[in-house]
Amino acid sequence: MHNTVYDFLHQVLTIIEYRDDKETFIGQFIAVCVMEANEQINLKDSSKDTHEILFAKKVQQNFEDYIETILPTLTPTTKTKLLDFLESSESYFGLLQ
Amino acid sequence: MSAHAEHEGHGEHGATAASNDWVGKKLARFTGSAALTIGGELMTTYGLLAMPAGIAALTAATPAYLPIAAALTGSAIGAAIGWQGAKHAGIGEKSMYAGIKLLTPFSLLAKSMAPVSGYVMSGLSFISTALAMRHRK
Repeated sequence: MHNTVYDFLHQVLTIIEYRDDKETFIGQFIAVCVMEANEQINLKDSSKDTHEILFAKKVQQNFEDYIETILPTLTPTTKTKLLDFLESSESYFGLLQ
Repeated sequence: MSAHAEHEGHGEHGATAASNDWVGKKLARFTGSAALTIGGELMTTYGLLAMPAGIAALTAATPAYLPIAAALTGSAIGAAIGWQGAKHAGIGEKSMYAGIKLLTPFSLLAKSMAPVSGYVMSGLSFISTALAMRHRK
């Protein structure tokens, strides 16, 4: 799960021509998703499946929030490239459900 | 806009700054919780460690209400800071948090007989606040 998220985010950052260290950003993104998922863990139900589902939901929520934030900052060309990529990757989020 | 101007333009740099700003705000919430946990627990631990000296000073008929007041205040402030997180938790966790914080000052009475009790309560106090901070909004 974490490798897939890494690859996907890496491609997004490449498309938007992110200038700083991509690995650092991705690490921070994943850390935020893990910590937010931990906040919702019910201590009585600490199965591995529940953790993975919570983490996947947080990845999706945060990714959508992140894309909404950066879309206005993109040039028309970059925005088109990004939206085309997201459309072709729609099945990615289907796998998370 | 020419292709070169578009490439060097505000768009890409804006995306980098916006990305860093977005993840920075997300991370700040968790580092803030860590700072409050550490700060609150330092005050509670000060309360735990200072109180015995205050009690000993009182029994020596020295006007030493100040160390006791400072110790109780430290414990109360530490507990209040942790409560900012605990109040959002479920009833079980809230009860556990309140119970540990209420017992903490009384554990010092036992400290003179069993010194380890002070350290045990300090440890429980820290853990309860760290758990409570998960719920901080």
